[in-house]
Order: sequence, then C-alpha cells, then structure tokens
Amino acid sequence: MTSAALAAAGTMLPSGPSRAAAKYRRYNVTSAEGQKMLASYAKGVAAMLQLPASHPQNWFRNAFIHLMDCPHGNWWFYVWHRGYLGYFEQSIRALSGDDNFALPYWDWTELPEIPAGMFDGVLTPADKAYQPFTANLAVFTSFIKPALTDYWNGLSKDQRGQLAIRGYKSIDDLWNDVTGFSPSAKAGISGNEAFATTCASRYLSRDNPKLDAKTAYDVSAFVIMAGLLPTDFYNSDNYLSFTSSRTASHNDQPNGTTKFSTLEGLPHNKVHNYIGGVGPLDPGPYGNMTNFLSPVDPIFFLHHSNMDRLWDVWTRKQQRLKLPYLPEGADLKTFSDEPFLFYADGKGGYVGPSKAGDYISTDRFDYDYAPGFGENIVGPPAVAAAPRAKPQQGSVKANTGTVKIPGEALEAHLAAAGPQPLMAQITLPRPTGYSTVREFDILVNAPPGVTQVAADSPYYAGTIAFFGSMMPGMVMSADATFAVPLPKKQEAFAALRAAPNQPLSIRVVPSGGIGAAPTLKALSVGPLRQ
Amino acid sequence: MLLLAAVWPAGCFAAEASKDVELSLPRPLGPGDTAIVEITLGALGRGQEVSVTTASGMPLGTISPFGLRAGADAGTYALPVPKETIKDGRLSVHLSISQPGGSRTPTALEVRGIALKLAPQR
Ligand SMILES: [Cu+2]
Repeated sequence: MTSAALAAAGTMLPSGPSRAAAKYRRYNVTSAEGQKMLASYAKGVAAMLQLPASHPQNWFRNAFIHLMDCPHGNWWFYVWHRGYLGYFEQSIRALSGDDNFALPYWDWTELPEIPAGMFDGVLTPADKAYQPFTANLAVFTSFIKPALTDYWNGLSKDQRGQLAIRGYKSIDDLWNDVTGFSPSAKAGISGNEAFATTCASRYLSRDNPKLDAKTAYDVSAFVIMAGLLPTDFYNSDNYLSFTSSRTASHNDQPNGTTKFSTLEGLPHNKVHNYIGGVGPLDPGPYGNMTNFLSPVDPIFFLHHSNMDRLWDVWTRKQQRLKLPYLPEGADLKTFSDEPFLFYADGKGGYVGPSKAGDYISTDRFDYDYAPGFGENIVGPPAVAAAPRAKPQQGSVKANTGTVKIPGEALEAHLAAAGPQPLMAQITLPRPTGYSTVREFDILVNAPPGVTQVAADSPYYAGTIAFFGSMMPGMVMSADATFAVPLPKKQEAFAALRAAPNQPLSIRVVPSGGIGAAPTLKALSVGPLRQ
Repeated sequence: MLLLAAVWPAGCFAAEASKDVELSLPRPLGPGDTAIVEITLGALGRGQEVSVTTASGMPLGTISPFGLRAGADAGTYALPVPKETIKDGRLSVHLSISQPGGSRTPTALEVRGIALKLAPQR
C-alpha cells in the first residue's frame, strides 16, 4: 500500500481507549525494528541452546514447559500463551543483552511465507547448532531425559495433579509422546513423535518458504476478520465465541466435545502443521511445529506473537464497542483462578504458582503491538473523526460527488502555511467477495477523461483500502465512511478558483484501473477540527 | 446430490453416496449475518486434514487438527462462508480428507456432522 493510502486509511485508525505507552513494543518482523529484534532473538536462542539441560531456561527445557502445560482447544489458550511468551521474552531480553528486546510478530495474513530471517543460523531448528542435541532420538534422550526426570521427581502435588489430567501419570507417559511410542499398540508411530531430528525439524525452507494455497486461505483476510467478529469472549456456540471450549481445566486435552474458535481452529492450527510438513510429508515423521514440542522451532514464538496480537486487537475492538472482553460474573472468577504452575521466568528460576488472571492484561509484561492486519477494526467508526465545524453536504450524480466550497475555506485550505487541510468524508459500500485487498483512488476535480492516476497526479487525493471481504457486522453498518484529506495542490483547484460558483468534484476509481468503481454513496467536505 | 436439512445428523451421509453436500440456512440471511459452516469431526489419522470447498471448488477452509492425543475425536470447527457462495439459502459443499498420496471422501465416522449456521450481528 502506498503511504498516501496509509494516510487515507490512517484517518480511520484511531487511538481507541487511550493507554499509557508501553515500555516494550512488539514489531512486525518485516519492519526495520522487527529485523533488529531478530538479531537479538538469535543471540538469546544461541545462549539458551548452550545452557545445561538442568537449567529452566535451556532451549529444550523451555519447549517442555509447553509440552507439559499448554492449553489447546479451550478458553485458556490465549491467556496461557500470553504468560508463556511474556516470560520467554524476558529470558531473551536477559540472555541477549538487549534491554529493549520484544518479540517480533509474523503477520501471516500480510506475509504468507516464513520471514526470510527465520532461515538464518539458530533461528531455524535445522541449523547445525541444534545437531549436538537433536541429531537423533538417542542423542536427544541422553541429553535431556535425565534432567527432565530430576525435574519431574521434584514436582509439587498440584503440578502432578495437572499432569495427570493431561494423561501424564509418570515421566514415561510423557516420554512416550516424545518418542511416539504407543503403549496400546506396543509400537512406535512416526507421526506421533514429538521429537524431530535436526535435518527434518522444519518442512519449509529458504528455497520453499511459502505457505501453500490451503494454509494461505486459512490465514486470509476473510478468515481472520471472521475470527475477530464474535462479540463474546466465550459462547457455547463456537462461531459466536472468540475462544474455544470452556473446560474444567486448562490441561483438559481436546476431544470430540471441543469446539475450536475460528482463529485457533484454522490459522493457528494450520500454520503449525504446514510448517512441520503435515500434507507434504504424510504420514510423518513431521517437523517440530506439528506437536507440543513446537517451541523447539523459533518460528513458534513469532507465530504465537501474532495470535496474541489478534487477541489484543479483539480486546480493543470490544472496548471500543463498549462490550465485555472477558468472561462475565462467576465465569470470570473461574477463568482467572485457573492455576498456571509450570512457567520459568526471565531470571532463570521457576515462577511458581500463578493464575490465569495474572496474564489477562498486556500490562503484566508491559508491551504493545505495532499495528498489523486487523487493526482497522479497532478504530471508532470514521464518523467519530469527522470535523466539528459543519461540513458542506455534497450530492452524488452519475457516481461523481460534487460539493460547494466557500471561497475563504478554499483559500485557507490552499494557503501553504494553513493549519489543516479540508477533509472529504466519503461514504462507500464495503466490498464483498474474497479478494484480499481492495483499493480505490480518490480523484479531486479530475477532468472527466481521467480514470486512473499515479500518486504524483495533481488530482490524486489518496487511496482508500478495504482489507479483505469485510464481514457484515464487523463495523456498525455495511457502508464505510472514510475521512480523506484533500491535497493542497494548486493545479487541482485552479479551475475552481477561476470560477468560484463551480462545485468541487470527487470521484472514486479502482486503483490501477482493475475492477469496477464502487458506488459513491455520500460526500461532504469541511475543515478538519483544530 | 443429497439435499439435507440445516443440520446433518451423524451417520446419514454415506461415504460413497455423494461428494457434495447441500446445506440450507436455518433462516434467511440478514444484512448483519455471517454464515458459518460448522463441522464436527471424529477421530482422524495423524496428519490427516479435512478440506472444505464449495461445489465449484472455492476454498472454505482446511481443518488440520493440532494437539490431539492419538485416537481422540478432533472436535468442532467453524468456517466462515462468503455470502456470495450462498444461493437461495443453500450452499453445496465438497469435503475431502487427505491421505498419503491424495485425498478421498471422508466417512461418516470422520465427519460426524455439518451444518450451515448464522452468526448475527450484535
Ligand atoms: Cu500454538
């Protein structure tokens, strides 16, 4: 998208309920800041790989926290991963020496391929630095199993209770999931093996980084917007629920009664599995991302950073709509009191007993997100940003909007030192269909023959971008009103100044001339509130 | 092609009978509604995925179960449906399940239920 497009769309973006600036910011991995974060990330991962297996921050031990405790298919999915990522981020901060480190996120909707930097050095589990630990199952077993057994033997009664719910009554039960051994079949099943050898740890590679068509669909704008649509944190109907099933414990494993939310059930799961080779590598063995040892692959944390970002986007959308963003009443207590007992902290110790409620807010780890896909649903309806001074109502005829601008308003607009430009409020129907991005250029006073402009055209006033096929119900109405600043270009207004009784005209045309022009529904122009 | 009510009870869909399932909306689609295909899956083999498209091949989503214990049923999933694919309150969907080297029609034990539902605007 052009910067002018961003500017036009940016007027729809909104600050939302004002929050104090967070200490740390999680950037899109493709941004310059995100790339800098990757360098620190690599340092931290390298340091964690070198820690002994007895150390809670050892790279693989950190992954076992996930294997032993992660919730999937239930309403604690987001909040547990928020705690897990938050402490992990502290560890990388401490071990990389970068005091400002914050996890970058991988916005797969905008970039449906593994970010290039994630094939460098220790940022891929196929790197030689992993070889001493994951060359084969015997090597991995001798490295980690003794330390893990010691850890197991020191667990509290409460921790053992949670592990039993998970199906782990002994370290052997747990280890069967690492090896893929099925006690009932008395045989190993390669596809069930959580361990992956170094060379087969990730299916996607630098030469083949792209998500396939089916995975790209599951992360598409249409699906993500639908996943953000529910207005209940939890609803027993999953298509009305932001989170998956309400269960008795976060350690309840998914089963036939589980109802997956759209965001967990489609983008979250599919990205995990495709990166690990589900599909192309059937019937296994698969790479790390397909199972609960997935945090062995550093891409895990960028993937989950994006899931966490989408929760934050959804929460701020709910706040903007003045709707609850957490369970209500007794449900909130049940949700918040769930004990999380397995985290390790950034100082190299165990966190000890904590509760889900401790991790509801991003304030707990003092971070926020640079805007990514979906952010535009957080904004208040554009009308809220409308100028205070009464705008001039225009009329629409033959898909061209016209509006009379008082001479002094026009001169004030064109004055180089003038404070604020005139703003056009342009109402369009939201496009339907499946294309991921729909962009329209705004033309001001363009001669009738002009149907396409470059950004340097005197008639170009910016680009309105619709993200995805907007779902009805995503915003307050099926129409969208954009506030677009008019350009301060003399050429565009020369004819108007020469003939002050003529109206200003506005047309909306498809960017790049592809597709049909949208039906212009309404237009007004006025000075921006100062 | 089978013509089914809005809810497709388990077992009424014979694997070999048809590849496409016609679903009906429970009520007319309102301006604020989002249509959802809700699918309940039984136990799948490790690595097996269920792909859903319209009868004409437009993707509606691929369900790739994650984090299930071997042999556990895979649960219920919600796939949003673009409005334009629904004609006269009906939607024909095509289901396939992956297997090494290709795909096939799922059995009634693998796909236990499927329904077209509406999420209203609140
Ligand atoms: Cu995950």
